Amino acid sequence: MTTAPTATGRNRILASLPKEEYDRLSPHLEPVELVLSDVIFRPEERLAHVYFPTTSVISLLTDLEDGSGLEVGLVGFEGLAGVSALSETEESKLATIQHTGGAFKLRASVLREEFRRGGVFQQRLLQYMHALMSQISQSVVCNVRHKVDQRMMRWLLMHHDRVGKDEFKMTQEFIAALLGVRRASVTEVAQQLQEAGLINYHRGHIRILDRPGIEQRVCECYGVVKAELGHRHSQ
Amino acid sequence: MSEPKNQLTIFLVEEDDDTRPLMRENLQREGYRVLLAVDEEDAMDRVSGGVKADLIIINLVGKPLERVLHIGRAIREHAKYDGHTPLVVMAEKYGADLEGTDVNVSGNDWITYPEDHEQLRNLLARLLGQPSKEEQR
Repeated sequence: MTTAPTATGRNRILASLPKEEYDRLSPHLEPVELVLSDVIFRPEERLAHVYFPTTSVISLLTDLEDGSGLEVGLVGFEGLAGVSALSETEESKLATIQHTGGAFKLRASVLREEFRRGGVFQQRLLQYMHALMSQISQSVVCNVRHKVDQRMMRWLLMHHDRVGKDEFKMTQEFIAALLGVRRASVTEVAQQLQEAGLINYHRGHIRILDRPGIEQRVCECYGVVKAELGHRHSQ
Repeated sequence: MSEPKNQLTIFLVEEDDDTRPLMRENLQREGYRVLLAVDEEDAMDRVSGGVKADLIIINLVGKPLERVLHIGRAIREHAKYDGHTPLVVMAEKYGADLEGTDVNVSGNDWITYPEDHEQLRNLLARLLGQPSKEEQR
């Protein structure tokens, strides 16, 4: 099987497609830059486009009436944002950009048309949807059952996996909003992780110093989600 | 384990169940004795019971900072602490313009807008006449 050319960027779904399927999609893939904090869709919208991130990271949040939110999913180069477009149903999540970077934008109608053809694209999307459901359900469990330090380490590893570099910009306020915790909790956990030599945090810049150390301390939720994604994509 | 002599005591009024133990751990690691209260009422009960402290930290979400400052002053007064006992109000929601600043609102009353824990540690050290981390180096 011939896979798509590397010019597709780093999106794993697109890169795994046979040339014939990729060639059908390619003219419709619009490279875009997604900028930190931008919102690409909101609850109750019917999506006109979906996004296949390459170097960007997209956060899926539940949006409550009081204006607060909670991150339940993270989409990077391994997936796509906007799976509700497949069923033409209203979106239930708010999607905001967590890390500035590239993505391919695709019209929802083209996504559905190619999906209905079957083939590898359909298979990859179904696998990804299953992995995303696992990620969302595991996030819910983690948010309910695990303490802030565990949740923050899980988030750090998931983010690190997707940005592909050790240093990234992220304010305490933003992390607190994603995790649904108080800003002061993020400040204090960051201090503990810093004292343990795992990260360096200064003025909104996080540097991962000891990833294996974080992996040793993080709750099982990170491993469950990572294994699910790795397993599905290796099939 | 015996407590070190002259160990300074911080009275922490923190209503968030996630934040409270984290702050206690970090402050204890820095050598402070930490007494806790979960809200204004609990704080009043504890000071009525004779809790003594060298500094008060108060963090109450959902109330205007002026109101939190007022509650902190009332706790200090109710405890019959010296009026110079430092009071530190921790802000929760603030923009980048305030982040990293400590505002002296009057006397020994402060509002801090932390960008990291080190800022709080340095403020406490300064208010309690302790050497800061930089000065210890």
